[in-house]
Amino acid sequence: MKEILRFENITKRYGQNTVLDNVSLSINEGEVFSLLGPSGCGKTTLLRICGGFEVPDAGRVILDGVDISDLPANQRAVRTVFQNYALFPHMSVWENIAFGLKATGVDAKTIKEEVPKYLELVQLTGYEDRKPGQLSGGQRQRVAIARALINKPKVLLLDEPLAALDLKLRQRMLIELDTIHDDVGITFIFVTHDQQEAMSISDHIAVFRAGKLEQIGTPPELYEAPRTSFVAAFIGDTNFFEGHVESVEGDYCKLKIDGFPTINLYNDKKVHRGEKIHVSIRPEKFMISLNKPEKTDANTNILHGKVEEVIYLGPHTRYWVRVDDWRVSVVQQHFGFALDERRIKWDDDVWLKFEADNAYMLEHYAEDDEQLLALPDIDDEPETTEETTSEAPEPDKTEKQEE
Amino acid sequence: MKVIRHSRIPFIVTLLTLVFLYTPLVIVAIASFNASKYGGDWTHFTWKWYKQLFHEPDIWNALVKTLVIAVISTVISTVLGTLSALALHRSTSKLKAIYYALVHTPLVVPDILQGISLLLLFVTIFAVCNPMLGAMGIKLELGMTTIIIAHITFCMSYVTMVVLERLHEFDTSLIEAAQDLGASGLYTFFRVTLPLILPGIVAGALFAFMLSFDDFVITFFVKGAGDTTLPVYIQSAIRHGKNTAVLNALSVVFLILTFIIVFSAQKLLTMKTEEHK
Amino acid sequence: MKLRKFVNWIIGAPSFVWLVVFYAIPMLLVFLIAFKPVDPYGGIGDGLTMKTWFDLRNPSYPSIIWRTLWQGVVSTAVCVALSVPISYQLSRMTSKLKNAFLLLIIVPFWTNFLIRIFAWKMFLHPNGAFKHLLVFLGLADQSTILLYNQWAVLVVMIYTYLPFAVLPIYTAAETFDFSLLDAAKDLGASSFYAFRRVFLPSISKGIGTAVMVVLIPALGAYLIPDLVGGPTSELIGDKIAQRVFVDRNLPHASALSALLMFVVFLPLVLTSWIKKLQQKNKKSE
Repeated sequence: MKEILRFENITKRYGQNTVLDNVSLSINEGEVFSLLGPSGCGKTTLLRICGGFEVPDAGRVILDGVDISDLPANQRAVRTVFQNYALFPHMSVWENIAFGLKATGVDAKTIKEEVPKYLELVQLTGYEDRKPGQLSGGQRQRVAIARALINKPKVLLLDEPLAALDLKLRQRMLIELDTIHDDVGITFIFVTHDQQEAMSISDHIAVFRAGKLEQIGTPPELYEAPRTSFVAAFIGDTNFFEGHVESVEGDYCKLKIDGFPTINLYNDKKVHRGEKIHVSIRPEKFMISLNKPEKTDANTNILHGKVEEVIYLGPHTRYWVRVDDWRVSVVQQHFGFALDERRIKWDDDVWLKFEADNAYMLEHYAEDDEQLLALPDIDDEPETTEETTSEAPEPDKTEKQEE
Repeated sequence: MKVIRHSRIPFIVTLLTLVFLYTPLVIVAIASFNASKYGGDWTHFTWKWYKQLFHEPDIWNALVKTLVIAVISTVISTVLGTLSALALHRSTSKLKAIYYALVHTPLVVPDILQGISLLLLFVTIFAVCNPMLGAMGIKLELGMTTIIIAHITFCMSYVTMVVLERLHEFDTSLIEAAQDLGASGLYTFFRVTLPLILPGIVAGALFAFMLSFDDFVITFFVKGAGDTTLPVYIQSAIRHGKNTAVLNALSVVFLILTFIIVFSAQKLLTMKTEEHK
Repeated sequence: MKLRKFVNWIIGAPSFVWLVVFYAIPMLLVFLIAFKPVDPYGGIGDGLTMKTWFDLRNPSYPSIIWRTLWQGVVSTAVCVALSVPISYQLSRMTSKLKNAFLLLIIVPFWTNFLIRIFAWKMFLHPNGAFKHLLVFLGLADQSTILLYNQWAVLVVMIYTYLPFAVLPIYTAAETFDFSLLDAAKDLGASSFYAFRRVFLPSISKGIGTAVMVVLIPALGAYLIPDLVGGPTSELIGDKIAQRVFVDRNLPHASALSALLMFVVFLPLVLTSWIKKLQQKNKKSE
């Protein structure tokens, strides 16, 4: 695959504050690449550096093999879809879309041919005489995309393009963006703080945290094999366990956890006996049942616990189960008609089952990252309630992807 | 259930104030249709004073003079004021604070001070230049030019302030968007910035025109002997109590014109904001 | 970035130069010319003198300065006191009614200044309607003169400057969130308490602007006392105009103007000084 854009050792400071710290990235031609991270992590700054609106303190931007670090914004073959769309309010939809061509001196005949093509691409044929003020949020968004694409940029930068839309529209626009991307085949760089958006549209995602690059990977890679506790907690929900390796047996090992039953793990990091490690187990990897389940193989883990909290969420239910001194977050999909099932209730004795291969060892763990998780005592953590709602539907989505 | 009761006092104050504001104007309006020349008791209805108003050559001459002054000073002060607003908006220089003070303080200086200070300037310039120019047969004196200079000076600050406010509301991402789409700085200015601040410039120009048209105090200080603008004419008529009946009619014409202008400006403004929503 | 600075200079320079020549320098001249003698033809003589400054000890001046100050302060206070309830009322109205009321208040604001004074002169005229009404009610007799005294000046000042005070206060009140008042009342505050402790502090900036835009022209007022006042109700502005147009004594006029400038900027400096002091106190708390 051909590389289209490369950031080399980009560093940017505002006074004492380092917004980007030695970031290097390579993006392939034609892909959708997401820059993901919480607000203030530097992802938007990186985008603005690419667009030419900010000058990095150090590092280079290479576009299609050419160093564009010193070019002004109006001479770069990249285009931006701004967060608030930045449509010119005094111009019609047609004039907005034609702006990039007129400004660069393209002749009137070409403009007349080109604009309708892009109107059609974003399904706005018939709206050319409207002013931005007369359009809905989704329509404005589409004008902004058409306006940016008409110059045939090598890269399209999208700065939180869906943030201003409501939930339903956001999902529709996401699909539409995907379709447009398939039509034009231009590289999209997509900045977002919403991991769900990033997961559903991207070929690759770069996760940022406080100006540093945490991990780059495909969406399933990031979800299933997070390198750090930050990635594991920021993308989806999870359970963290800390323990010491008791013994290593072939490809598997036993982990001794204080106040928790000893569990079997797949030893993908080739750890040794006595080492202290952290593992992440996604809530949907647990099977919950009232009757003791059968082991699939010798390494299957079967735990016994008591239900402390049940939250019914429609397609699935979230449980918090006490196992010895630990609380485990579990998500169970409803396969049958939920009303007919004997539902698991608060205070029930239950069994949890998970396969040794479904736990993942972390390279780096920070206790602070636990705050990103949906904790059982939500009441004390008003900040995390938002995370809970936005992350709740996550697991079933990935399950579908796995199918 | 708690019933929250609103006090009637603000409403009563508002109504009484409106009565206070309009009673004298209404009395003048009534008097303008009264056939009795010196007001007071009602004799009978007449259009006489309006007819007289339109046949008074002094008023027409004064109006023409006032309009000439107002138009010239509006054009020049709008251009200068807009340029200074742009410079102030873009500038990051240390001089900016001084520049801003220079633009801002004329707004809070009483007009009599502006009038006398300009008079002193002109008198000083004439005292220095006239002996030299006298040899060439030129003599500088107070007149239309000094009036226009004075009007430009006090109108300019208003234009700058109005345009500057518009520039502050301006979304800078629009300029970034234009540059992102390949537009040069000049193209961005003429196609994006200028059209978007145009309402501010027009509002500033209208403001300047009204101020210039209405000004008496500053004009009175810097005018020459024969320069009777409309406000100067009205002042002298009020002072000497002559032609009161015609002045009544003139007041009504002024009032109606003002009402129409303000009403349509308000309509235009609300239309604009609704369109943006 | 260099180009940008250069362009800024080019577009900023004309108006900057204009303001220096026709605003800053003339203001300085006001002080300088006060040190010059008069020449017999009504111009400015040569040399320097302190005579004009000593002439300011004219025994009639202290009372004129005092009158200018108290009339300015009283008219400002009345204008603000009326504007606050009006702005409150306007911003609570439905938008249709609000626009109508706003229009009614703005029209006098834009109506020619002289016309408004003229209307009052007609209204208070010895033969006018108001006089007839007062006589009819037995509050005045035929010989009462309503015009040409300081009360007439004060009322007309309030009348002409009131719209100046309403607009800034209304602008501030428009952005006020009125549910805060309901919240205060819900917490047990009386209407007046809520008004005083919640509404007033929120519009204090508008009130500040209103005080400035009324007080400063009121201190410099010249037309109103000239047209509806009499010899006993003269203000500094009248005296400046008399020195210019009656005895053609420009140095004396400029000394008086310097005095007026001092009177105008004194409250400005005082308020900014008080503000700084308050901020300091807040910080030390």
